Amino acid sequence: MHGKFDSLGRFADPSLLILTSLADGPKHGYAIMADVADFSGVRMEPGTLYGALSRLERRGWVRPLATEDRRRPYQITATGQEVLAEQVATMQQIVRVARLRTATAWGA
Amino acid sequence: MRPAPAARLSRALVGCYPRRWRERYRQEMLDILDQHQATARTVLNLAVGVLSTHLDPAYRAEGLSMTRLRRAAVISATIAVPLAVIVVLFGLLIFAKSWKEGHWHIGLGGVTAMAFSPADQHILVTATSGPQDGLDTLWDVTDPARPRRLANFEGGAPTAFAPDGRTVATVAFNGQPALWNVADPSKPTRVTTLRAGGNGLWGEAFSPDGRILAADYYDRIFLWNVTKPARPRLLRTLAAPVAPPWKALFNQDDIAFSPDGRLLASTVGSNQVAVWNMADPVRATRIATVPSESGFMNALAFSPRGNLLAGVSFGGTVTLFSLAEPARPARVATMQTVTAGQIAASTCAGGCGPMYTLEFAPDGQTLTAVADLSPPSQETFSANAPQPSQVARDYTFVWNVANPRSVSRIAVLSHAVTISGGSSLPLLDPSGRIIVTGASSGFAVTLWALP
Repeated sequence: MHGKFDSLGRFADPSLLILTSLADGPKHGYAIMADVADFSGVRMEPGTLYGALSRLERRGWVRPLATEDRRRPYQITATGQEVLAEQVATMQQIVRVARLRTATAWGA
Repeated sequence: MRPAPAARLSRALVGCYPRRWRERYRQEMLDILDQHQATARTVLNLAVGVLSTHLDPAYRAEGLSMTRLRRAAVISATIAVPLAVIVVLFGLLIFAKSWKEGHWHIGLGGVTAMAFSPADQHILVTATSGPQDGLDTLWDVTDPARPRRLANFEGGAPTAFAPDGRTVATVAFNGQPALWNVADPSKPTRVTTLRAGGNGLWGEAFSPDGRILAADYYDRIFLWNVTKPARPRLLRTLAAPVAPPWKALFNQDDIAFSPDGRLLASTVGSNQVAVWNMADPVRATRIATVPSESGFMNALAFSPRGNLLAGVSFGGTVTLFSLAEPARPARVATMQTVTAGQIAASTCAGGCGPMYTLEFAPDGQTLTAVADLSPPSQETFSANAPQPSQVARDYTFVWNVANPRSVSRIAVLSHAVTISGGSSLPLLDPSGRIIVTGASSGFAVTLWALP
């Protein structure tokens, strides 16, 4: 899956991938990378991950928890959850247009 | 690049981030790099990260450390220049290859939407996408064996015909809905465009008296007064119930008016069917929300008498609701169309799956459901290979619903329909005797006679 995306450029916004990954509970950096690769096929590099994490933290969409043995878990905030819901709505709009253009039904 | 130098360079680059950033994130990043298989991509990615963090106003305040920036720039240039050369060479190679084969078709194209004129049942409108993006064609299908092309117009997807057959509502591929005058099907003209809260309208329906156009947009339904098509007035915006699972938002949804125009049913935005009281569209209210037990409903249809509402879910289950009390729709029957196995076999990784059309016969005695199962598609985008030939399959189910409490199946038909790429929503002609299918590649529309 990610092979196809790579050739078309960066498809997914790292912030969206991180928020999605944190939606079901706090995770530390490497766990986020592994989870994102798992559910989206996007292999995020550490530079991208921490660039996005620090921006998300500054905007108050995620918050760092206490470090456990060198690893620091991050948690999505209430604002972060709202932003994620909005992003999903936007994506839905994109999907609608894409579906109009490709006439391909999307699975449940 | 061998992993060992890549890992070393990556660790060195972490040291090039601004001081405040390092104090906060250095330990975590080094921990990740311990677990991560560093490659040239990791190094390049970190180099970009270092540069952009230094340029980030939040970190620039502490002053740029020129030594660090210079170090990072040298490391990045060492990696970036050879990579850029390789990318350019590869690009030239691919370009030369495609050029030689003379094949520059990248993208999808084909028939995406269709509608029959309710006034003249022999007028069909179809839309295409791809190289002929948004081109609609009006056909005379009086003789289904020999359809005649009447005119082309650039509207987008035609999603609804006004009851008088004079107006077609379309949604352009940028999401802009518009009304077209097709009173003379050989000379269609655009009457107006409709402005909504945003782009991306999907389903549209005219009220039976033709005065109201309803269009759903994600979780909202817009109601326009289109008595004067040239000056549509937005009457009201309804908020449809939205509930998890969010993935239901990505489905084909539907809205339908009851034959007397007093009710509107919608599947918009959730695994529920909502019924709206439309007696006074300006004060339309939701009077019922019924959870669908079989998952997201893809298509809805009212019986001609308005006493029944049928919905078909993505999983192929048709549910009949009695509307004896519109505020309390009661489930009276469920029927299965295609099986879970058939759906699973037709669902591809890209997300395509079955599409459904649902229609009561004009006398209300029978209900017909058409399930269109696309074959799992291969690579959709293809630069230099022709699309593999594929055959989709339509299954048509006909039930006797004269007595909704004892529904019996009359017929099941199955036929291969399209070639390559997939197909658009199947369409039933107003007499319920002809199924129209459109291939989404090859621009072919096929009319199938039902026995």
